[in-house]
Amino acid sequence: MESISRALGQHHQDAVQASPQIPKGDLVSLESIQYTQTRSVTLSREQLRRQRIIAGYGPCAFVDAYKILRTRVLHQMREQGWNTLAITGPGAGCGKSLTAINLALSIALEVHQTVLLADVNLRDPAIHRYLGIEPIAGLSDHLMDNVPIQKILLNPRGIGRFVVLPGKRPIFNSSELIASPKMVQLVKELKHRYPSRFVVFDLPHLGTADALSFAPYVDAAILVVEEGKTTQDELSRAIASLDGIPLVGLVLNKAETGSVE
Amino acid sequence: MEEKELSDYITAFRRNKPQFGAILTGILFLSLLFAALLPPTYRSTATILIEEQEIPPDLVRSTITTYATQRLQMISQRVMTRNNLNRIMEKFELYPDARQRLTEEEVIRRMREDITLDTISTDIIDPRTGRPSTATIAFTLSYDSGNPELAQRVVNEITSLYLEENLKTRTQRTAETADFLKKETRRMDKYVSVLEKTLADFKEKNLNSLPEQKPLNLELMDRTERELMQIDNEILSLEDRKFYLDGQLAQLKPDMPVISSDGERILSPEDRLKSLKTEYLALSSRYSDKHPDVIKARLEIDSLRMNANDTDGGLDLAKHLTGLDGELAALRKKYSENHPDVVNLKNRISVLDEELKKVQRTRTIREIGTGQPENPAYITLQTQRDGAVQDLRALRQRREELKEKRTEYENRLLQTPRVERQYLELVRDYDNATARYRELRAKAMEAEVAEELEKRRKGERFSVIEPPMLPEKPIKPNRPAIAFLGALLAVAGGLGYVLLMENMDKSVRGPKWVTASAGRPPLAVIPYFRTDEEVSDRQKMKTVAMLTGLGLVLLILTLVHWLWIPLDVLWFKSLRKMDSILS
Repeated sequence: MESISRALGQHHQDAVQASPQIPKGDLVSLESIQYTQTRSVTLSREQLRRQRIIAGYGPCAFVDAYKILRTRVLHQMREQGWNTLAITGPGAGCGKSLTAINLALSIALEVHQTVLLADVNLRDPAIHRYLGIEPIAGLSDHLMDNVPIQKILLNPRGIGRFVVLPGKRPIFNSSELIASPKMVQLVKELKHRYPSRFVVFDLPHLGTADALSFAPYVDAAILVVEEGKTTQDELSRAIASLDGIPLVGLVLNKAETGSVE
Repeated sequence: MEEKELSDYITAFRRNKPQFGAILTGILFLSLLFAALLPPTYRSTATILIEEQEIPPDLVRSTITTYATQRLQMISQRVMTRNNLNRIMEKFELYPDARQRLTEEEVIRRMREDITLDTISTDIIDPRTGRPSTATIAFTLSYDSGNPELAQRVVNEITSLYLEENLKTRTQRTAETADFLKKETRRMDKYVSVLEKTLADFKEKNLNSLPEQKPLNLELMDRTERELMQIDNEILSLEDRKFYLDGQLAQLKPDMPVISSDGERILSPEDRLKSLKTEYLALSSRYSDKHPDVIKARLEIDSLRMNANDTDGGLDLAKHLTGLDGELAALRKKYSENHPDVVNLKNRISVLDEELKKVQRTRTIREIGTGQPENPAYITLQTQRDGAVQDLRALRQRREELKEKRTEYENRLLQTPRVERQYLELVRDYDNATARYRELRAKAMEAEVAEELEKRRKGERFSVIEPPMLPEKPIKPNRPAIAFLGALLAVAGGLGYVLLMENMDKSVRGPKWVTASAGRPPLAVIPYFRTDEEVSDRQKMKTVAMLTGLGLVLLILTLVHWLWIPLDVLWFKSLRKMDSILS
């Protein structure tokens, strides 16, 4: 774990230098950042753009929307002293993974805060697909085959203070696995190792037992709502099922252009 | 749950623009197709004026009094019979498809629907009631058909049917009325004749007791009464005179007294005969017939008889014979038959019988010459008396006659009231019947005139003022209207779809709805972001769609050109059509 912190710490210092260029999305200047233990991966700009990941874009309304989200989320989290956040939604395909990636990126790119993005959607891990990377092992390998977490963590080249814990292949007994003591241990470790680190968990949607059983381990949650698809009933049910877990707020995804504020 | 606002709908509209467009174009296309392809319907119309009768109704009144509208409806019913329609259909070969597909009933109904009868009315003031009303002055007949020529010909046919039917109905009706009235008149005539005869019979039977005879009867009776009185007076005076004459006559002898030269009164032959007879009877009983005294007496009597009027005839002889008979009967009681007294008496009786028979024979001859009075005074008086008696008898007879007459007059007068009652009854009946008869007669004559009016086509009639024309433009369909309605429907359908989708849409749309369902506003609203690929994909799609559309249009045009109609022809055709639609 030390290696991680070192790597991240180093990252931290580099980011200070790199920060003025990050808003322009210029990845070239960040290429010097190296992780000692964490495997670095190169992200293709085209891939990022194709997947609507803000790292591939310059300033625009889309990017700004994530900045607003980031500001509000961080504000609340700091107030409450939280640092683990679960991203989930009422239904499948409403953009949870994308929101998680973009939020995490937004935090990592602009604030002096290290961010760990964990793909705990064991049934259908998607983050690596979004980022266009091929992980050697995933979270499920750590949980089932005790693959050390250091081998799994990835750091996209050019983006400092941003570490990804990807999934790899879908597994079926995910709900048992996600509630296993090992997982709890992992969450605890991730959460408490560095208080300044911010951990974003990408959860399956709330229609699954996975999300419900994992939710109690995080400080707070964000619900991603897809405009025009999520019904009001679904939304109410989702909020009701999150009972007891502090809800930071909701994100209205895929909003029509007219409703952007 | 918040209410949806206009802005929601606007965004919904924006969201559903493609669907909206698809629906709009779809409906629009269909309606335009519909408007263009609906088969045209041509209508040919004939206008028929209901002309009033030529001769003013004040002069000749028609016996048909129903309203024109009502008559028109009746004629319609008669014309639109299944038979008529079938005949027309066969004649013009109408509805060839429908007749194969549908039942006869349905085809007939369709034909009835295609035939339209419209009345043209005007506001008038009814001369009969003085109230404003509407009168039908004309009507139009029209027929709708896909073929303008056919429409015209069918209307022609139907119009002539109407005209014919009207004439037929009118003539028939007036004839019926006239006929009925004629029959009634004849019946009434018979009745009146019967009454007339009854009245005449009655009059004849009660000729003298009729009420109009009453004054005459009274006068006659009066006169008779007076006459009777006069006659009574005359009778009285005549009777007085007769008595007086009788008295006078009694004092005179019919024969003049003859005094002989020696102053001795000479007996009249009758007196002499009487005494001789007595003498003779006495002699003959005493002596036989041969006795000279008897012979002398007998001769004298005979001669006297020749002169004198033997007025008493056989009277004396008969008296004498009766006396002798009584004597004979007394003798027979005393003596036998052979007693000489009895025989003697018998002889005398037989002689007397002979005598009596002789006298009776000669008397009638002699009577004429006898009894002639000779005294002139006596004769004068006698004549006067005889005249009086005769007058009296005549007067008496006349009196009887008059009395009889008076009784008759009285009877007549007594009968008059009864006769009067019956007579008046009869007269009243007769008068009534006559009045009725006269009335009927007048009506019948009027009806005859009306019939004549219809026969000569001078009554109310239908005249075609506008014969059916060949329709140049179809009345249906109203293509611009259908197209316009189609456009409206298209817009409405599109908007309706949007509205429906928006209302059915229960999903969360916009931060407002998030707030509404989650109780708090969203932390952030992430717009939908189109990646470069998506943008270029859309562009590509658009281009492809446009090209496909163009290709499709070209394909259709080519197909039309080769398979249906060359395009240049179609172009000019459609130009013409547009012209006809727009003009």
